[in-house]
Amino acid sequence: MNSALTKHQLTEMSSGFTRRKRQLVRKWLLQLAMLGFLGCFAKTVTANNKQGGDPFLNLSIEELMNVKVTTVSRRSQKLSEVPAAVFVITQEDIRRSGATSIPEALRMAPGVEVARIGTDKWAISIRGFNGRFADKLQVLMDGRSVYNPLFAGVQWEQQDTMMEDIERIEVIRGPNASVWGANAVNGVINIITKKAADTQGVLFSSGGGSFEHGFAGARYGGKINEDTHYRFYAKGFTRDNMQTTTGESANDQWHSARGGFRIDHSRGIDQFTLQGDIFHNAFGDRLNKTQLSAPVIQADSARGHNEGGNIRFRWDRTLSERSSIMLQSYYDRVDYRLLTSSLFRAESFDIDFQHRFPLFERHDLTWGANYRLYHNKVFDNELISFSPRQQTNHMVSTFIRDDITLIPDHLKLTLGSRFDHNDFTGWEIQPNARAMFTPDEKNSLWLAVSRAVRIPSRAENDILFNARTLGARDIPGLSGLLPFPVLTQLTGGTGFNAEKLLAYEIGYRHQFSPHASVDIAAFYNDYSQLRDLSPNLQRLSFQSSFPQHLILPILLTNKGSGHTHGVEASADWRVNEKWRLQSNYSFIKMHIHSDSILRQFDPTTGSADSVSPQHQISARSNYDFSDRLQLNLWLRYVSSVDFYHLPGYTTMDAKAVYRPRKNIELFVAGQNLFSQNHREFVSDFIPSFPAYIPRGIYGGAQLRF
Amino acid sequence: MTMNMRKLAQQITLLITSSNRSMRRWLLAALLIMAQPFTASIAHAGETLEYQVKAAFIYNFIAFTQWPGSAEPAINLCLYGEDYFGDEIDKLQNKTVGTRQIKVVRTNNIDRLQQCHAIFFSKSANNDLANLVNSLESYPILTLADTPNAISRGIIINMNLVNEKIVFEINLAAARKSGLDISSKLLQLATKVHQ
Repeated sequence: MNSALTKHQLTEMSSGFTRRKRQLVRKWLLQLAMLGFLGCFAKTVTANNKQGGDPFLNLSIEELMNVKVTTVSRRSQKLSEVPAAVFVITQEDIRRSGATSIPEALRMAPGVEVARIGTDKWAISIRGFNGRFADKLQVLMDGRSVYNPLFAGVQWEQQDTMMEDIERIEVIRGPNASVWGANAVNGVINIITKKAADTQGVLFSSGGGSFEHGFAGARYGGKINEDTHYRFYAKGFTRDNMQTTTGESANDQWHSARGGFRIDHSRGIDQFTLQGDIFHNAFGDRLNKTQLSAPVIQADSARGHNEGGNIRFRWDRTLSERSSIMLQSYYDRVDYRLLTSSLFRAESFDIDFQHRFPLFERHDLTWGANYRLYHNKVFDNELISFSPRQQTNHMVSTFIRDDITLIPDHLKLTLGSRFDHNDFTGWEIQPNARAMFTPDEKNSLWLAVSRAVRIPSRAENDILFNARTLGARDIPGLSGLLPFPVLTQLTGGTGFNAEKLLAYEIGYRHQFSPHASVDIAAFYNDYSQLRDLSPNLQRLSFQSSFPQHLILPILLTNKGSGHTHGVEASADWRVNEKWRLQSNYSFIKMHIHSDSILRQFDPTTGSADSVSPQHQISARSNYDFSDRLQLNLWLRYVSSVDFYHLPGYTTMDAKAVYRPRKNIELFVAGQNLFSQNHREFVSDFIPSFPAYIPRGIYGGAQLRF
Repeated sequence: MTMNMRKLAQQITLLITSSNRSMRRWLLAALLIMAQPFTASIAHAGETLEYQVKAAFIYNFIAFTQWPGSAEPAINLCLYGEDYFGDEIDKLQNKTVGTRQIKVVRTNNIDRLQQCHAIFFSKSANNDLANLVNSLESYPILTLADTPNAISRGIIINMNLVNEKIVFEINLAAARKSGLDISSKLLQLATKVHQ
């Protein structure tokens, strides 16, 4: 079976080889061929022995409906072949969990830290460095990056769609820059919606409850002809205020309206997609004046709104099983307005090209190029100002990746690198190497070494931010100097460099049977040139207006460094046809080195090691009493967040679904059931009042026809 | 460009093949120990996979259907027309559904079809499908197909390939006429139910 290749390779290589080496290679290849032969023999034997061994016979019909049956995508479908820590949240998982937003759904994945700050505010990160502006994560919705390069991070309140239209969410822990682009440092979240052909007909869903005050969504999918499908959707919701720790309303009631469309057209080997969304959010905040008391801040509570939209076009051409071309372009625009604290407009345009083709029998090459334009305008206010106010940034990148089959079906090597050019730090190179060893269908082991960078945001270059007020005695070196409070003023600078990571990962997957599997991954991350805060004591100045403050300028440096390590494990067990259990556990330990005298005030670097919960556990049980009645339970434990003095918490969500008729679904869900409320996180940078996450009950109905 | 790529690939191959000898031995030893036989499925081409999944669907269709007052111990699953399943469908042989066992019968004899509980009409039977189905209308037989428009010819459950996945539609009117009771679960999952 390998002989053709052997000859081919030998002729290819003979030129530069010594005789001895050639003999060695020949011997090695011969051994391989023998092994291959034995493998083939073993295969036919089992095929004969295992009558009735169709693995699909053990799948439920819902699962069967999700099996892709063409070879092209089967390749991309098989999770056990991916040499990375991947976890997939399916539509079924989302529906059963009762999650009403993408952030809530992300709690199902191991290694992901999801902490709610308020009704419309989240801190989400993977493998540490969590915060409201967690910046080491790439998030894509249908291939559109929603990472905000103005402040760095993701504004989670803006990322939404019909939850019913999400096909799956792929969560990739660890760096994966060569595939997913810049800032995929600690991980990638890839939200993929269904094709229009999969959302045909009418869907209407509506309900409400104690915290989820009310929500409604409607979608209509139809087809123009056999090759052209479309859908439209609209949704809206209103969520309650949370309560601050002082017992007041956090003023963060959240109303949202959103709509969009998708058209898919296929023509022979080509597929075209046009997709767009518009949204409007109204939200609010209550700012802690005592932390802020910047001389000019007037109000402590504010309402704001943001609105925006995007449009995306994608063309795919499948040339053969191993060869394809993809071209995608999108435009995205957001206006953000929270009075007294923030006002900006951001637009981005992106064009992306990818080409995959085979080189010889054992190499699958993928290369691509990307251009992104980012234009933004920030309107100065009391808290934040930018200089210059508006700017256009460009980023160009290219990548190449080779998937090498060293031993067919058993050993694969992936080598690749991404080369980015950005306006702030010039060229960045992000190589990675991954190996996957699959001795048999039940076991797979993978190893990876990667380098990734986090490119500076515009804020880190251009911002003037009245960060927070400290007592003079809080700061070593200033203690007892003056009785005045100190206003720390964060100033960006062009000297700020990219943050760098060298990551080592190992993972193992084992399939006990078609009904049970485990997935374990461990990592060691070595960070250098991390952002750190350096107070400029020489530039202390005095605020002339009342109330009087000392102004302490803080510069951003790259003096931080650190390493993190951890383990994530997940298990999936279908006990029987009615019952499925899924659980995962994540552990992380962080060591951060910072000499900054402000480290105790800095949750993003200096004290980042006390911001991430060390242990997280999630366990889900899905039980079907009958075709009509389902009960889904979800237990979570998150250990303490020492930086904010938040104790660990255990909580449970539950959702019962009843289907009186085939197209009607009635549901009732309880969220955060174990206590009246709990705290999960505190906002960094923007000093929002810490809020309690309440228990909530909601119910509703879904109709399909 | 291609030449450079070739050179690069050559170098990489060289690097791998000429790597440390003991490393290779170790690898080989590890492989020999761990190279357990793989199940047949992984080596199959796309078409086999498609019919493997279709066979699993058929098993589910049978499991979610109730025949009127039958006490027979066997469910005769017949295959009419050209066989695209290979031995995939044979994996259903002797599989139990409740207390009954599936018997797979390949037949092109129209007279024998009345003894079947379920019939899968192959794509090759497309031309005279309407007549065949008509002649079986009053019998409690679950008719299955994977031919576009088979529903309009009276087939009860028809499978289609949409976006690389298999979906199915149900002709509930035809099922009622045959006296079959199809589980609500199937009806829910069907892309379309013809009343």
